Amino acid sequence: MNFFKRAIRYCWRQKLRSTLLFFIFTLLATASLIALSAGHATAEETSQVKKTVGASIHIEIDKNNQSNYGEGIQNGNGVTYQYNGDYITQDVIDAIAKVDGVVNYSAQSDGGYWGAAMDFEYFSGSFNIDYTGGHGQSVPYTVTLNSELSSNFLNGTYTLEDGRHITPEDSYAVLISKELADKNGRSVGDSITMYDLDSDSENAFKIVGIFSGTEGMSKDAMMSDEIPANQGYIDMNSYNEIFHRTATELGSLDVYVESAENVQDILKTIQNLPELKDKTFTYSTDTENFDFISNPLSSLQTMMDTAVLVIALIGAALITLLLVLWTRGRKKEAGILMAAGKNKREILLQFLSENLLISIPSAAASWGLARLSCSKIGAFLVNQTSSGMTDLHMVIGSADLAAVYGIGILLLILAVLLSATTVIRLQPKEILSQMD
Amino acid sequence: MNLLEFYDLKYSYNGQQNILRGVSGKLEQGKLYAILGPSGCGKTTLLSLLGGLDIPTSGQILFNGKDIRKTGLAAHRRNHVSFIFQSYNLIDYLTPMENVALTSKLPPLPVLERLGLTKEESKRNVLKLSGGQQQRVAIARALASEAPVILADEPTGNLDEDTAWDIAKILKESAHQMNKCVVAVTHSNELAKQADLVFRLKKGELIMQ
Amino acid sequence: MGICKRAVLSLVRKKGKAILLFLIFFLVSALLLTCFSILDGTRQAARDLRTKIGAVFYIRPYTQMTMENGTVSEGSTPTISRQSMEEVIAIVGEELRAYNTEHYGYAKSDRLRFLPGTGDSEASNMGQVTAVRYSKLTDVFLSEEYTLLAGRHIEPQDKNKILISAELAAENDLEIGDVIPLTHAGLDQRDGLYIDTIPEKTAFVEAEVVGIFQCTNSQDSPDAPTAGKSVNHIFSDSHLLVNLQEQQDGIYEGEIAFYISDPLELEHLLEQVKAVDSIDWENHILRENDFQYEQIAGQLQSMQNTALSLIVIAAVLSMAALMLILMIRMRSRIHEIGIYLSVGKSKAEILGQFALENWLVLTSGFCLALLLSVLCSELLNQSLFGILTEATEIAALQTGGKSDYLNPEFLRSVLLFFGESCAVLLTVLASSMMTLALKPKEILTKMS
Repeated sequence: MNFFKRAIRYCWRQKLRSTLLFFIFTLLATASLIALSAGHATAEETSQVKKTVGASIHIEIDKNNQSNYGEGIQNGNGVTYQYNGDYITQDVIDAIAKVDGVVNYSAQSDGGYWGAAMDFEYFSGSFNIDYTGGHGQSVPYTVTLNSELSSNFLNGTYTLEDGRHITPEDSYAVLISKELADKNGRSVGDSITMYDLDSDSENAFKIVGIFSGTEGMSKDAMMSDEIPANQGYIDMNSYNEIFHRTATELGSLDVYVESAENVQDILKTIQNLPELKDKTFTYSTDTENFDFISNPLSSLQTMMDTAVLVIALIGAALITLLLVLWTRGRKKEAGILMAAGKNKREILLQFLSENLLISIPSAAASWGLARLSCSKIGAFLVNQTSSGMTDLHMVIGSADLAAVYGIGILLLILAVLLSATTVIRLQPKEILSQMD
Repeated sequence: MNLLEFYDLKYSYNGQQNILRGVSGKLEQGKLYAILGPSGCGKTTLLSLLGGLDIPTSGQILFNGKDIRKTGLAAHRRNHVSFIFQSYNLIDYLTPMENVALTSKLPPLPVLERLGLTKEESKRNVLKLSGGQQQRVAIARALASEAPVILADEPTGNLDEDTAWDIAKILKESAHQMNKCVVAVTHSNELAKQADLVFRLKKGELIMQ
Repeated sequence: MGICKRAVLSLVRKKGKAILLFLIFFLVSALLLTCFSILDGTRQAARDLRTKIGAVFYIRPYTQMTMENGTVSEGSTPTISRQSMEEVIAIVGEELRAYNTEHYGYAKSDRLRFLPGTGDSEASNMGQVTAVRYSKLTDVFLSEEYTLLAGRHIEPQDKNKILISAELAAENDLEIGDVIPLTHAGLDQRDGLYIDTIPEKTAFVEAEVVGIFQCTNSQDSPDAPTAGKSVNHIFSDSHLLVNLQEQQDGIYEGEIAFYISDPLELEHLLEQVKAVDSIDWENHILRENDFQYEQIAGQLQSMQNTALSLIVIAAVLSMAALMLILMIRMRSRIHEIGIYLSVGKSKAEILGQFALENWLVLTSGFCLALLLSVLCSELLNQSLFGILTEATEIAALQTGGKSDYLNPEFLRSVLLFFGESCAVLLTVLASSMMTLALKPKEILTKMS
């Protein structure tokens, strides 16, 4: 009878022992697998959080530098100076959009468009001056590529209540405050018509979204243009059209990057783009939100990693100890086998194959068990968290499987070898005399 | 006075074989009994029944005239009998002295010394003693208990002839000097020669020789 | 010989087995202790994270327009009293990081020449004053419309301190530390002209310039009067306006912002705040902002739950493994049980000895694990988490967060030990019972 047959018989006859060992192998392998996939899941969640919070680079035309202004022009209000430096053009935007790590961008011009109400009414301020020639007071609108990325929306001052945000594709779209909408009985899909003095044109805008957050923000507004409820957002395309611009010329651009950690590198890349080099732009980065959370967030991540490591290490140690315990208990058997003329190699192989025989079904079982628990955990997590959860990646990766089983089998072999050698290096006589 | 009596003991294993087919006997204090027979004839079964380790299919065992099933098998094991095994069955992490002390409140050393162990040997790891010495410890442990019946299952089975002879003598002396009822099942003739009475168990029946 | 002595002898004389068992108990205990510390740590870190982000709610004056005979009439400006504010502060309690008040007025000065706006005249050459507790928490500074160039912000303990724009400072040759006389003013419009509603000056204040700001992104209407221009904007503490008789002490016109630590508490707090009767809810609204937390709330919560699941699973599985290992070990002691039974030891005694042995080993293993985890947690805390840096404006207002993320608490350790003891004793009991339930003869047959 060869060692393999003996191993099979041993496993079969010692059903309880085999079952117990099977369970232990399965449990520890499952624990390791779950730990690893949980570790990956948190890592992913951490990077999600980082992406959600993100960071931005603000690029602005350098208005504060007097050398970018030409000679003053005298007009009715005094002397006005015209900025004659570089503007942010479509070329610039396209170049930036291609930079690695840039996830989104938005440009806006605060008060880029001043509209007087034609077929609706603004909230009035304490003082009202009609300088539009019968059209009523003008109110500034923020011209934006992407209203979602406008700071008031990003920091939660304003909340979109109805409809959607303005996107770069929009044309003649407007976001107005809920207060203004209510005052004028307008809702999403309706239109408002405004008169713009600068272009001397009347334009109808379709309300694509209504936001809240302006309530009670009038503060000490003197004129209606200072009342936040009057101020809205319009898209960039209509703006270009109204002002007969063939090319985009922006005063500022906000570039959102994937992670705050490499914002400086991205900034450097952007600054060195040929389209931006030596232009009269100023740059600043905003990683404030990320800075808030980066410490506790990385602590969370570190702690999870530690947990995973500890679980894996202790699982490995437990397996090793158990196998040592197990094999040492079979001293007598080794003695008898040696006395019966089996060589040490055969005995070792028998012990090894016994354990491997048990480890194969337990590998399968742990894979199933881990998959099952991961999907259960995933479902639990999605259930538990109401918002912002798109998809949870609690999956058992093949790399994890390979690692757990590979290391597991390696440990198994090592442990058996180690403990078996302490037994079989003795002479058969010594073993048998030690037998009780 | 008969210490241990058994009447018409029958025992079948798994309801098939009749290992014992009605055996009876009367055992007295101060005597060494040997039960001989080939392997698998039911010697150990008979011993187990007498020691209250198992229950006969039918029949009765009396200790001091009382049915042991009525006084309780556990109490019988605890108070009336002690065992000696072929494989000694010593607790391996206790010294000979400590093993003996398991059953007795008396100082264990005199008992061990009487059975031929030195003081130094009595404090050694039991696994480092020879087979004969280990069996002596087991006997000492049985003797030290207050149980009047000692049931020995092949006590010399693992020992060489000379040692077996010594052990047999010890058992006999113990029976006589300490007034114990020693029952040894064996196929050793040395032991049978020392016995006061020899039974032979053959095909499930007990025959006195 | 008592069971205690036998238990000890069994452990001492079978050192190899005892050490292995000790290691197993130690490892499982270490695992459990680490896991539970980490679970606690993640909770604290998550709270810390939430606190860093924080949340804010505002009580804003919001006048309900009343329609009378077709014309809209506005009542007097709604205000909030200090008493109402203190009620809210009491409700918010420890969660309060800071609160800010606003009140508005105008100021003039002989020493100041405000940058002229539309229709500027001697009468209307005035600046708008916003009196606050913290100037850095005002909208314009938070949204970086204004940025502080030099000096410092207005703070709650300030009295008659002001913040002026760089342009205004340049126009009037003012520097930080300069003290200028201010007097009250009021703006109105009559016949298309801006006038000062307080021509007779009775209130005067010496105000110190503590900071200079720049209006980076503000959009002034081209027709703004002098006082409406951003560059003429003055921030001050409330004392200034009170001293200029433009504010009643303890009465605030503008919005009051309450910055709180934990966004999770926001909803609960708002409900209580809504119940404050002394606030005129007809003319005030509550607005909350926990937008930034909401954005990551899902992920954060899911991270915590992942940690929780992982640790629960690890704990359960390791306990199960421990119990299985113990069962195997107990099975190898059938022989011993047989011997003890044959020499007349009672089942209780045998059980007692085994339980005691395992419990002793467990205790020592657990103690070592506890000792190590106390030592390690200090090391880990120092090396991994370091000192948390306070980053910005709002965060700087809070008191330093607890950085001791990993610290095995006493009660938890006791509970863990209790749990482990129960598991061990139960396993010993269960596996011994399996053996003890056999007939003595069967045990003896199995023995040999």
